Amino acid sequence: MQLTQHQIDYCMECGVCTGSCPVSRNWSEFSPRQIIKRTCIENPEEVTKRRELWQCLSCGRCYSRCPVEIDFPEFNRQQRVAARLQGNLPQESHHGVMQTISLLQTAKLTQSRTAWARDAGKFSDKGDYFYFVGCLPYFEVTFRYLNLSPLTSAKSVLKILNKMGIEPVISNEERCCGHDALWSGDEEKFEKLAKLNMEVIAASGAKTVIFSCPEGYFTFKNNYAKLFGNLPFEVVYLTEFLAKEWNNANFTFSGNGSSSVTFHDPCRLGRLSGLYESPRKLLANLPETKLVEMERSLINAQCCGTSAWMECSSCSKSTQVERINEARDTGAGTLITACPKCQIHLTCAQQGTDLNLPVKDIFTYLAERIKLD
Amino acid sequence: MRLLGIDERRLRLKWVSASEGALFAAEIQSYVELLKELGDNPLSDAHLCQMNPMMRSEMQKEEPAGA
Repeated sequence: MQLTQHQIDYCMECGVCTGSCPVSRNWSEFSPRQIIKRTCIENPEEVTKRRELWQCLSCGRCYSRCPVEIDFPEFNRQQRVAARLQGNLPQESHHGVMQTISLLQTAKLTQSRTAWARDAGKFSDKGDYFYFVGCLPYFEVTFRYLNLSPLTSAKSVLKILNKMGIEPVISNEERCCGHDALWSGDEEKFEKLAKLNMEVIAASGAKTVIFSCPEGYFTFKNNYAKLFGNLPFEVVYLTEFLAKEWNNANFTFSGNGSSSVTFHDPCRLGRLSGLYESPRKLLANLPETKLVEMERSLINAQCCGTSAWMECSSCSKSTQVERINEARDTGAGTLITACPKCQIHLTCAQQGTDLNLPVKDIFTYLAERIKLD
Repeated sequence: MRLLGIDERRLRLKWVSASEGALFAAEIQSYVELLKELGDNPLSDAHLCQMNPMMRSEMQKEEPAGA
């Protein structure tokens, strides 16, 4: 990404990015502004040798505030591509298991990833709607130790769609969307996965692809579109879809007593896609549910502290604990998010502490309240 | 492995003592027969090794020693 002279001139005078960065807040050595400055004056090979370029969470808070609109996350991502070629690699979390799983999905194999759906509801091989399940079946086995069941979210999505009369396509051939590979600078892996997904969706005949993961949604909407041009199908995030169809769906609700919840905006959904309203609208539609906002929400929301299954650090943990405490300060009994990774990270950070705030994904919460039978 | 669609029989763990030569031979023989029956490993694509940075750096390390 080439910065313009105008951007560089302004950049040197400012520093709002570093002041906004959740990583800099915990680790003062890390500074997006300094990274940009070094890129302007140092030999490019020296810049991409540095470990610090793996620390950026790509949460986009700097970008959303930058007066000259420098897209630092994208700028940094491109440096990661060069860094990888030099052998400068990120420290992968969970012994690299998620990276290995996505790598294996670039091979020609038929997975067995739809078993969960058989008991949960009705789905088909071909049709107008494709439900892109994403990593959930793999998270289910990887994050058992956190007492989380990420597939409950997928089951809830299927039940809600069935209730609306939709039997979406769910496929054993679906691959990882490639989001993490892309943000780890591995464009080769990303492109292989993206091509396979495009073939699978084309074979299903779907006109609309529905996502319950903001990363998949963002990646299709932006990076797939960049790679393949205009996509031959519509890309929709499920909260948008539900908010639009809500009145036609004639949902009835079961009460669980009054409860107050707070909503954590995932970076890929909020700041990077600009979708703030639909999840709030859905929660507001539920009788007996009261939505209370955290001090930093919408465009100012705090990141969940880790990105692309790499570089989990004490900085990640303090970012997460900070966020949990912010949610607790609202008095809400449940923290709701719309991203499976946010749910995993914010739950993980509470292990071995006296924090005990349930973190739920929005689709599971909706399915618990909507009468589905 | 099941999720990824890889036949679980491809992974076998067996404890064989040094004194149990016949058992070892029988085990390997039946394993080889099974692998022949299952056919090519779906993960044998060469590109997978090339794409894995750890395997790639291992391969690079080995090169100068061989040369």
